[in-house]
Amino acid sequence: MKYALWGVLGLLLTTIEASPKEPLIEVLGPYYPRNADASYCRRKTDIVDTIVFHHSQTTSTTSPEEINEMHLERGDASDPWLMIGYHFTINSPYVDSPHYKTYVSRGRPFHIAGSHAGSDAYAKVTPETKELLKAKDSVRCGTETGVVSEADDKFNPDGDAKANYTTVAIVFIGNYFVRNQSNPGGYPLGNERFPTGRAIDAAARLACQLQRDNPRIQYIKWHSFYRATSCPAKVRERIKAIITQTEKYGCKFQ
Amino acid sequence: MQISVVLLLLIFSLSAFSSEDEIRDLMERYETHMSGVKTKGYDIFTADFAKESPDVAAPRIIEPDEEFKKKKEKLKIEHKIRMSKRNKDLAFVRRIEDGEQVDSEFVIKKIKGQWQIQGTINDED
Repeated sequence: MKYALWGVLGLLLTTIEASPKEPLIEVLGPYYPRNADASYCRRKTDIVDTIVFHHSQTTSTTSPEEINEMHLERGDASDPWLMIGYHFTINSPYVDSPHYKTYVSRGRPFHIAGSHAGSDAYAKVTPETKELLKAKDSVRCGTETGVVSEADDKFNPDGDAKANYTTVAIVFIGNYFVRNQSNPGGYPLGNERFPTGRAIDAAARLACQLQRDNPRIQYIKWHSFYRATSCPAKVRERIKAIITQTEKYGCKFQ
Repeated sequence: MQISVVLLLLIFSLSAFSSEDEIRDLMERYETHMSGVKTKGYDIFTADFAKESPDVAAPRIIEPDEEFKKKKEKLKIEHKIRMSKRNKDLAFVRRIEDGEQVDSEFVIKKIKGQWQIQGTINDED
């Protein structure tokens, strides 16, 4: 009897040790219609080493499905977007908002390159990422039913890598830019708006979960790192806080 | 058969034109409203937008007509309208100030037969 108890205990401990860690965050998986005629790029996921944060500049109550609907309208007739351009969305209601609920949703699948940094955005990457991206078939582009071929725009003439291929995009749904005539939903001058603590924590958990699943992801950047844009507005000032918060979950980012 | 197709196309393009005209009118009212001039109607924004930015959607009470005229002369504002290909009640407007395009777009929705501003969106390929 005594030995049987020890045996059960041993088995239990082995099971606990062998079981995968609990996910750090619940990620919802909405249904997104896609553009059947769109060309898109599948990538080997080990080329991804950076998370890029954006803000949507929409109202904070905009749903990921609505963003998908708007992104289906992007591009031109000969080259429409496939679907939502971001890989993850964080609904980030403002402080004191009656709709105070933060939730994370999946966007574009991780193995499909995003549409978010700008198709002409290129940046320096580590030698390891460069080698992985150089490898044959690391990125293949085409349509669902048409010809699929190796991407011919992985690098620019300076040898910088195409940002959309080596990054994963997370968007804070909300408007974090100052109000002006081109941005009526922004914050009033002198009354800056930041994501709530809960949204920052959700971003850190998501980033850390991504690193757990893809250990090559070691960098966190923001849209304006890649090009001249107001995006991600005030979210930019919370990037450091997100990086610090990931340490709480055992992750390390640069 | 051919005549009916032509007629249908004509009706379709006329309705597209009228939508564009309505949106152009909406954007004109928006410019006036945002410039602090008292506007007649306060149905420029959707209820969703008004809930999140009530102070923007609230009626304006001052009427600095002369100031507004001067301001308008200084800045040349254009509105580039793009109708949705998938949803007849959705449109996008890019605001161009003195030839310079802003990197966000207005999201315009037709709600109960009326075009209204839902806010903006900022995204890239």
